[in-house]
Amino acid sequence: MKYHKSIKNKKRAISELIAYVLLISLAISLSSVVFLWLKFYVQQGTVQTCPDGVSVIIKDYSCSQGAFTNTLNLTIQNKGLFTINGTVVFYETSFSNNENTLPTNRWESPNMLLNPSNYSAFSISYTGHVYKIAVLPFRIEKGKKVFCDKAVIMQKTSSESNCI
Amino acid sequence: MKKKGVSQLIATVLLIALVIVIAAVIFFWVRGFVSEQIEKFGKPAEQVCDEISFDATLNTETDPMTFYVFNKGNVPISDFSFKTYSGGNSQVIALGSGVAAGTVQTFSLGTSDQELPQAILNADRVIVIPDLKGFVKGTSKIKSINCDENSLGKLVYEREG
Repeated sequence: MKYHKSIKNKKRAISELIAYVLLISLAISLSSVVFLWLKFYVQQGTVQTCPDGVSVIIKDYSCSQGAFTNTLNLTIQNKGLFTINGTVVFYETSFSNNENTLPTNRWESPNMLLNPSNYSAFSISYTGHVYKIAVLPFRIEKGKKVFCDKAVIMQKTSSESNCI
Repeated sequence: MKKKGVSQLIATVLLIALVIVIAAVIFFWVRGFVSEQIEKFGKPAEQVCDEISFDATLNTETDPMTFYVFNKGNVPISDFSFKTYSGGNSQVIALGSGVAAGTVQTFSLGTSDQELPQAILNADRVIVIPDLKGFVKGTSKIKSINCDENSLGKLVYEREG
């Protein structure tokens, strides 16, 4: 009995303190690994986007013929809830019966401040005719130009506008 | 009482070594199933794909065919993949050119005897999928990624009848 007791007493595990330290450090290191792994997947905001309430319309447009170049006079109105800082205008000068053509000539307005319900007039020089116009508004967010893809408008020109 | 095992120290060392070896084997085995992470703008490229916004049209009446792309969004598109479906088969051909953000580009796809226009003319339908280029995470290696066809693919051609 005495011998048995002495054997039992010799069985020693690590101390309680070390066991706790090991357990806590294991939990911390595991949670850090999981955090760093998942952090990569939940990063947001690196690609700026335009707010949903941005909207513009072509209030008026007309074309005037010049001796060498023609001019497209375009009035764009901000119909949305947010200020816009400019627009990119695309216009098609070559005629096609195919509906699948997109206007390829590009003109960009200087940076400005167009508040909701205000409008702005632009003059764009071109040669030939204008068959199709598209307008892509943009905003400056944190010093970077952000295109408002949901507010794009595209329309064909009419003969009354003198563009075709 | 003479039966003696390995000492406690050796048993512990063996146990730890065994755990480390098994963990390493599992790590290298699982790594084979997980694809490389490609990042763009510091985000996973798959997430950046969701922010792509574009219109694509194809004029098959001209020879060479004309492909129009209007990148309305804020993500530059590195390339386009044309996925042609013919019968039960599909084929993917890359355009080899991209479009900057906020621009419209036209591409001449070559004459009808060339690979891409021929594949389009033989197809029942053609879907255009944008591709992005990004860095493999943690390296300077550049790799391309095809965005999801179901959410970003645009139908640009469908055979009539």
